Amino acid sequence: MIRYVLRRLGVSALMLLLVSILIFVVLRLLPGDPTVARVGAAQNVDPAALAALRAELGLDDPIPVQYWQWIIGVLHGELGRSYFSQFEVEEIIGQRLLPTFELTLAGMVLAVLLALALSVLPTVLRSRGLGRLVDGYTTLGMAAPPFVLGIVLVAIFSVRIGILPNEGYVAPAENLLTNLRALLLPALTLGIALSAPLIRYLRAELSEVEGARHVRTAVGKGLRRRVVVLRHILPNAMLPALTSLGITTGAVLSGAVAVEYVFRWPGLGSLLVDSVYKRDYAVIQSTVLLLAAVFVLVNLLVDLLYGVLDPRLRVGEARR
Amino acid sequence: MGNRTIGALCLGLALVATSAGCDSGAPTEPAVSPTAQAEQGPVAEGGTLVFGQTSGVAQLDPNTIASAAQTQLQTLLWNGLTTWAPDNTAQPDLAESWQHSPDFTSWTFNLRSGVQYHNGKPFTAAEAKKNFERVLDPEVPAQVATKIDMVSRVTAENDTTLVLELERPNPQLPAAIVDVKMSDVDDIANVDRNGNGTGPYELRAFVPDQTVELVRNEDYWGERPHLDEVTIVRYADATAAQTAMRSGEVDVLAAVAPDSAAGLATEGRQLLTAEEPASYVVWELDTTSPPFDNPVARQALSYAADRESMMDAGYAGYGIATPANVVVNPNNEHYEQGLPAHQFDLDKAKELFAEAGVTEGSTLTFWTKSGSDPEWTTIGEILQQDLAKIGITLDIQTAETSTWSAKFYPQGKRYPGTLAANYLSFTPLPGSYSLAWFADQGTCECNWSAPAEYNQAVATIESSAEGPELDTAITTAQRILNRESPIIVVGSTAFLSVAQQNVRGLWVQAEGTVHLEEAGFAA
Repeated sequence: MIRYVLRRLGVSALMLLLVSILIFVVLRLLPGDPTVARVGAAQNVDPAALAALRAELGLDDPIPVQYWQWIIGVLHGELGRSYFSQFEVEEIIGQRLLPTFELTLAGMVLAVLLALALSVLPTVLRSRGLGRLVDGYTTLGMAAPPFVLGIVLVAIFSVRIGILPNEGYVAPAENLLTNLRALLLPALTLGIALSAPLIRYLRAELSEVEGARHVRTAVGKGLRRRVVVLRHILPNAMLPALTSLGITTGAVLSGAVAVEYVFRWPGLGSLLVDSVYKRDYAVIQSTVLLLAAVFVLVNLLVDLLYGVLDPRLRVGEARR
Repeated sequence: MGNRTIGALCLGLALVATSAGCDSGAPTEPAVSPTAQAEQGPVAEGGTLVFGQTSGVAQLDPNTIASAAQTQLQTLLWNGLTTWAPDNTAQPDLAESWQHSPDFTSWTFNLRSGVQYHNGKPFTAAEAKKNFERVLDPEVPAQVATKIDMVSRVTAENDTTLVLELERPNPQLPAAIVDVKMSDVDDIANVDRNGNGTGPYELRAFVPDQTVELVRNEDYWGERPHLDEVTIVRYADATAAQTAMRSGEVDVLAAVAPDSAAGLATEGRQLLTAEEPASYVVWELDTTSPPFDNPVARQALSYAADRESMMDAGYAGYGIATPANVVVNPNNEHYEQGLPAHQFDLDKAKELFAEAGVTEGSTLTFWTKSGSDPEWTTIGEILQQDLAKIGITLDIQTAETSTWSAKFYPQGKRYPGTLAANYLSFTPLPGSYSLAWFADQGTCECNWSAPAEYNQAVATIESSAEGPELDTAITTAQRILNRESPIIVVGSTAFLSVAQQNVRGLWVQAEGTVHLEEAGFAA
């Protein structure tokens, strides 16, 4: 197990290194100049001043040198400074962490609740009609991009019915009720988008486990349908679904980017979008690296948890 | 701020294509005003004004502005030695008065005493000197530097006397220094955290590209501000911003899309824009690359532009066509009325294009933004249809802002056969900047080599006081621009803003900035 964990940690570190190189190079291949964005492409800035700004930001150095300076800083916990504001990148990211954490957590929780409810209900009730409805829901949830879902929800709940705010964020410490009201629509948008693939996966697993011998035995014993599903089918179907949840983390993070932008949610997603528009490399590269690290870490934890929950994996590991 | 009557406003507002505000026969079109005081009455003390924009404020250094969105803060957190009045004249701000030498090469500014920064540090002439020297530092990307590059020496004679010596005369210096804002240079590294100006409001919180929260400066040297707080909020897009306006969440909304303005300025809401707009919808051209290195090709393009239709379609009538093709508002007193108009004439355009080698089957590129300024694409589509009638293809290409600007900005880029759609703001004449931008020392991305006569005219404009010599030079410069067409000027317009019915005391500057320093709510 320890060897397995160490190997996985090594692979994760290598992945992050590759991500850091990739994002660094790709950013510099984008058209557009951060110094031009910094002065707002104003019609009255001397090109010499722009050149001075480039030198000040280190953009004149060769790309390998720029990368080396950045990655060494990252390893020392210093992410550099935004090209635009005077805030350190870690400070800017710090400002945006809580809103993103809130949104992704709420989105994940809603997604899991929706997935459990909409997967289990048709199985318990043996309702084909309900099953078709759920399939329609998942098709729609997977086909429609999160920002489209967000706009539709805004149109219904904010504009048409007018019961929920369409944007804005208030810190929970400032006003918890307002915070939760503002959180509801973006979290629901994210939750619907994430629940769709989870439901697909879970429904497939449920129907597969339903044919297993231990389930037939349980049915033969005369147990009620609800008990059979919840006690004998669902726990066995949940284990593979865990893997799906890990993979879904990537979708959560990318979905959050679009959802945050639609709802003016001041998290890492909207920070990333704004920074890309401005070509604020310093902020983009560190934010992407952080998101990649979260993705890698969650998947690592899921794999380890899988090993803990499924003894066969530990046995297999021990035999090697 | 004068209490002009609505009738008088209508005369001054050439922007109003339909004189709806004055003509009861068109009730569906709201009146456009440069001030928010449609209903007179006392202003309440207190309250929080929420100001909405769809662009974010990225940083707070007042002398190295990063976006137009930031200009809203310029008179809230900071002061200059002078400030704009609604009639486009420079008024005293931190300087109570000033004198100049007869030849306009030495200016003495008498500063207010007892003024302090928000951090409590006294503001003196020595502080003003630091700010001027910082702006003039070639390594500081200060946009205002080009307006005061004739300043050769800054001297603080005592705490309240600042002397600016110039290497060439500038009778317009008080106007040129309006945008040099005073902040604590010694603590400029923390300007995003504390603002540290001398203005009527001070910084409470700033989240880049999201919100700026200001609170009243209780120690303000001037008249006590009406509001307790001003919050500047950034919305993801125009739809979200307009929803917030309709729900009453926002008190003032800036830079409203022209086609939405009339629909939003209902239920008593006030539609605001500058009295004399000094912003222009333009197509920049690379005058050093074919075909636009030939002035005949540029003229051809100017004749191919159906400006009236473009301003109607793209700006919903909130703007005026500029067939003289100069960056001077036709209502400005210095506008040269006798300029030959480049009236829409496709036959003439075809003839001139052929003369310049742009024959049937040629393709030009229209380079515009995606995700913002959709009206630029609208006017591009009109041009596309018209050019197609004379056998020329216009390929409309869009790109997000950074990619868009990278193609032609800064000066010196090559972009052959391309019309770069843009929006330029200048201080109105007699300020020299709009004309100086094209001169050899200017920074026009058109890369135009101005004729000696033009450079001479600009030098005269920059160094002459009001009088026949100045008038002649302004006329000469306009005539040359009209003839040479280094860029295509489609129309003059300004950003439109909408304020709720109960907002008072706003006024709109020439290039569209909404002044909030005297804002309040109706009592």
